[in-house]
Amino acid sequence: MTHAPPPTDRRSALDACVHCGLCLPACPTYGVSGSELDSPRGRIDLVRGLLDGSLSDPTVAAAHLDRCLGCRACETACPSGVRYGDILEAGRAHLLPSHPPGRLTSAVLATFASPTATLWAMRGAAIARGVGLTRIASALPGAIGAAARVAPRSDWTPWSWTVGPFLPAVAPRRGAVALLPGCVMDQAFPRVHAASAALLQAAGFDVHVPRGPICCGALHAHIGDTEAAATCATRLGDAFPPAVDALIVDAAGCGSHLKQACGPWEACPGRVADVLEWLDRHGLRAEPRSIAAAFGVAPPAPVRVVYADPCHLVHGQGIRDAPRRLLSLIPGVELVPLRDADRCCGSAGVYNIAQPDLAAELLHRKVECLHEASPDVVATANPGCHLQIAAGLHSAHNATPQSVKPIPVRHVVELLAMSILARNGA
Amino acid sequence: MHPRPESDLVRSLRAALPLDAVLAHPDERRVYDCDGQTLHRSAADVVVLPRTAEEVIATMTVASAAGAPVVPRGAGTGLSGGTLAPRGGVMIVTSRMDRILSLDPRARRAVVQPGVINARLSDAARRHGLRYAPDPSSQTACTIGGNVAENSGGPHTLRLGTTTNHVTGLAVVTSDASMIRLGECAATPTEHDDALMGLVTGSEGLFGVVTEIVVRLVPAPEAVRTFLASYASVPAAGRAVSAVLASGTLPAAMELMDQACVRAVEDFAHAGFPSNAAAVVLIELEGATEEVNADEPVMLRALRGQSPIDVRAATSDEERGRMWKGRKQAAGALGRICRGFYTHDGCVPPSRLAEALEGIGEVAARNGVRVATLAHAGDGNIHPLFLFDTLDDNELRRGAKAGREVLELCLALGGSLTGEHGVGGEKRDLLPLQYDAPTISLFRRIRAAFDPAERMNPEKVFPAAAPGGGFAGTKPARGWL
Ligand SMILES: Cc1cc2nc3c(=O)[nH]c(=O)nc-3n(C[C@H](O)[C@H](O)[C@H](O)COP(=O)(O)OP(=O)(O)OC[C@H]3O[C@@H](n4cnc5c(N)ncnc54)[C@H](O)[C@@H]3O)c2cc1C
Ligand code: SF4
Ligand code: SF4
Repeated sequence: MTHAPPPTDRRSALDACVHCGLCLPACPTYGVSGSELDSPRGRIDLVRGLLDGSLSDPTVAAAHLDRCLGCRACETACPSGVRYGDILEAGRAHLLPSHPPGRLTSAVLATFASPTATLWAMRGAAIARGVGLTRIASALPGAIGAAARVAPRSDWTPWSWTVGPFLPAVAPRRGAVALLPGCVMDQAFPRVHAASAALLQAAGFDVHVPRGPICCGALHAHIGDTEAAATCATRLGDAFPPAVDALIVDAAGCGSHLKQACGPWEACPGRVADVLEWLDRHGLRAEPRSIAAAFGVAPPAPVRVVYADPCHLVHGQGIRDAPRRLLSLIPGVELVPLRDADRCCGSAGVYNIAQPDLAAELLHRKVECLHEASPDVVATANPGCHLQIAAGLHSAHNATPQSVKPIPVRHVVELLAMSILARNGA
Repeated sequence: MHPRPESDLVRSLRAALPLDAVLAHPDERRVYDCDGQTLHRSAADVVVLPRTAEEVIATMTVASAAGAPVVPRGAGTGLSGGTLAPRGGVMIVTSRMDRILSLDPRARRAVVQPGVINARLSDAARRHGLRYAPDPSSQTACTIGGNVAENSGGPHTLRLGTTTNHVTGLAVVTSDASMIRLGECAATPTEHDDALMGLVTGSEGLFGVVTEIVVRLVPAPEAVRTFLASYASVPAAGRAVSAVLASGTLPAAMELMDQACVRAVEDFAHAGFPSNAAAVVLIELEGATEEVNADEPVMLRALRGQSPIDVRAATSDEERGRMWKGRKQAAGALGRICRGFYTHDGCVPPSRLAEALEGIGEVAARNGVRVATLAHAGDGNIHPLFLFDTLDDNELRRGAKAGREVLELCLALGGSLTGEHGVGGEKRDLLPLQYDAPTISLFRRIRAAFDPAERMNPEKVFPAAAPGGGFAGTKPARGWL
C-alpha cells in the first residue's frame, strides 16, 4: 500500500499545494466541465478563500465543492502529497452552518425521475433508519429526506443474522479475523459477504461475524456529522472481539473511512484491511478452477474480465494491483485493460442523487469504456460502484437490446469464490 | 458584498457565446489568477471557455471592439507567469478545446485543438506505434497550445528537438479577430509559412491564440535502454554528461538530479534512486537495435570515466517506468520537503554544465538559501529550485536575488535566460541582459506586425517601459511560491 505520508507539521494541508496543475486531468469533474472551478486546484483555492475570508460570495465556492465527488483521484495524481480529502472536509465544515445539505431539495424530482437514483435513495433511506441515521435522514429536506419519509422499512434480512457469529477456518488455521457486516452490504449484498467469509475460511482464518447491520460511520462523516460518526466508531469497537488479527472489510468505501476514522480504531488502523488486500497478502490456499461455465464461455475461449477500480480502494487506500493479481489467478481469465479504469463512475455515495447530471455523464463515460473493452463480466469491489455500473450497463442494454449485450457485474470475491469453491454463483 | 453590475464587455461576451462559457464573478475568476509560477497573481476581468475556433473568433471580436487585452491560457502549468492578467481584460482558456481532430498514422500527422493534453496525444499515437516526441515533465497536464506558445521541450527533445521541430501547421486567431492559417493548416501553404510558424512557436501568446495545430508523429523506437549513474559530487555528474556528449553518442535523454531531488522523489515514486549519491544521471538510449548496441559500451565508458558510485540499467519496463516517474515528478515531490519553492530555468552550453552546477551551489550558499537542482543535462538546460522554509519577505528576497545571480551566471557561461519555461512576466526585465537594444526593438516590430495595439498578453516578455511597472505592483500569490 502506498499511502501519502502526512505533510510536515509546519505546513498546513493547503500550503502543500504548489499550484502545479498536475492533478487537473485526473479529476473526473474537470474532465466533464473543463472549468478549473471544478478541478482540485481550483477547489483548493476556493477553500483557501473560504478560510481566509477573501471570497465575496460563498455560494460560488459551495456550488463547486458540492460538485466534487470526493473520489480523491487528485491525491493519487498529486506529486506534492496534498491531502485533498482533508481540505474538502475543512471547506465543507466551514460551509455547513450557512449552506446545510438541505440544498439538495431541488434534486428530489430529478431523483425520482431516475430509477438508479431512486433505488439508491430508497435503499439508503431504509437502511439509514435501520442503523440510526434517521436523525440525519429526516434533517435533510432534500432527496434523502424525502426518501426517508416515503421509503418502506427494509425487510431484507441482514446476512449477518443468517450465519452464526463464528465461522471456523476450514484449512490449517492461520489466524482469526472479523468481517464487518456494514449497513448497505449486510442487507443488499449477502452474496458478497458469503463469498468473503468462505474465502477467508478457506485461506485458514476463523471468521467472527458480529450481528449487523453495523454502520462504519462513513456516511455520517461525509455530510459533516462527526458526532454520529464517532458513535458509530464506538459501537463498532464494542462489537468486535479484541483477539482478531484484522477487521476485514469488503466494501471499499467503509474500509477507506475506517482506515482513517476516529474512535477506537484510530490507534490501530493497520488492523483494518480490505478483503482483497488481505487475501492477496496471505494467499488463497486453494486451487482456483475455471469459471467459464458460469458466464457461458466455452474454453479454450478466455473469460474476459475487466476490473473497474472503486475510488475508495485505489485512491482512498492505494490498492490497485491486489484485485488484479487475484483475478489473474483464476485459470482461463483474461484480464482485459479498461480505459480510465480508475476514474469515478459517478456513484460516490449520495452524489448521484445530489448531482444527477454530472453523475449521469460520468456513468455514461464509464459505460462507454466498458463497452469498448467488451468483457464477459465486470469486476469491482464496492457496493456503490457495483449498483451504479450495473444500472448503467442495464439501461444501455435496455435501450438497444439487439446491439448491446447485457454484461453482469460481480464483486471480485464473488468471482474468486466461484472459482475456488466451484460454486456457480452466477 | 455584491459584485458590481456586469460591464459592457461581459454583457457583449455573454451575448456572443454559450451561457456556460463566460465566467465573470470575482470568485470564479480568481481560480485563474496565476499559473504554476505563483510569485504573483492577477485576475482577468472575465474568463472565457470556448469550445471551438469560431467561439475564439467571437471572443476576439468583442475584445477588439472593446479594446480589451486578451490573455490565452491552456492548463496553467506555465512557470513564468505567462497567464497573468496584470491589465485585466479577457482570458481565453482552451481547456474545452480538447479534441484530437484527426490522426493519420500513415502520414504520421495529428491535427489537434490547442487544449489537447500532451500525454493524451502521445497515448493516441502509441496505439499506432507512434509518439509525439516533445515530452515536458508536465506532460500529463499541459496542453499542446501551451507547448507551442512556450516552445516546450522535455527529456526526449535532446535527440528529437523541441516543439518547434514537430509543428507542421498552425491556425492562429490574432487580436483583430482574423485567422491566419500556416503550413499544413493552410489550403495553399506558402514558402514563408515555415518561418512564420517558427515565429509563432515560442511567442508566449503575444501573437494570437493558437486554435489548431498539426504535429508530426515519430515512430516508436525499436530499442530503448535506460541507465542510472550516480556520483559522489554534482560536478562529477556534470562532467559525465559532457563526456557522454563528447563521446560521439547522442542519447535520447540525459537528465540530472541532485541529492535533494532524489530524496524527495524516493518518498513518492520509489524509483530506486540511491539516496547517498550527490547526483544521479538518468540516460536513455534509443533507436535501431544495432545502433543502441553500438552506442551502449561507448556511453558506459564515458560515464565510468568520472568514477561513478554505481551505474545500473533498468531491467524491466516497470523499472524504467518508475525511473521516469521519479524524474518527471521531481519538482512536485519537492513540495513535500519545504514550504514553497521557486523554479528557475536557464541554459548553458552542455560542455560547461559542471561549472554551472558548481556555480549554483555557490550562489545558494552565498545567499543563504537551499537549492535543489534538476537539469535536462544533455541540452545544458538547468532548473535550480530554491526551497523556502519560512516564506518571510527576507527569505523571498534572498531567493529572488539568488535566481537572478544564477541567470547571470548562465549568461556569463555563454548560455541564455530561459531554456524552456519562457520569459513570461517573470523575466521580462532581465531581457536586456541577453539582447541589446536594437535586437529588442526588432522583436517589438515583429510583434507589432501581428498585434499593432499590443493587446495580446500585455506586460510579458518585453521589459516594462518604466521601472516599477508591470508585475512589480502585484502581490505574492499565496503562502507559497
Ligand atoms: C511540474 C512542472 C514541470 C514542467 N516541466 C517542463 C518541461 O520539462 N519542459 C517545459 O518546456 N516546460 C515545463 N513546464 C512548464 C509548462 O508546463 C510548459 O510551459 C507548458 O508548455 C505550458 O502549457 P500549459 O498548457 O499549461 O500553458 P499555460 O501555462 O496555460 O500557458 C503558458 C503560456 O502559453 C500561452 N498560451 C497557452 N495556450 C495558448 C494558445 N492556445 N495560444 C497562444 N498562447 C497560448 C499563455 O498565454 C502563456 O503565456 C513544467 C511545469 C510544471 C508545473
Ligand atoms: S493539488 Fe497537488 S497536483 Fe494539484 S495543483 Fe496542488 S500540488 Fe499540484
Ligand atoms: S476528489 Fe475527485 S472530483 Fe473532487 S477534486 Fe479530487 S479528483 Fe476532482
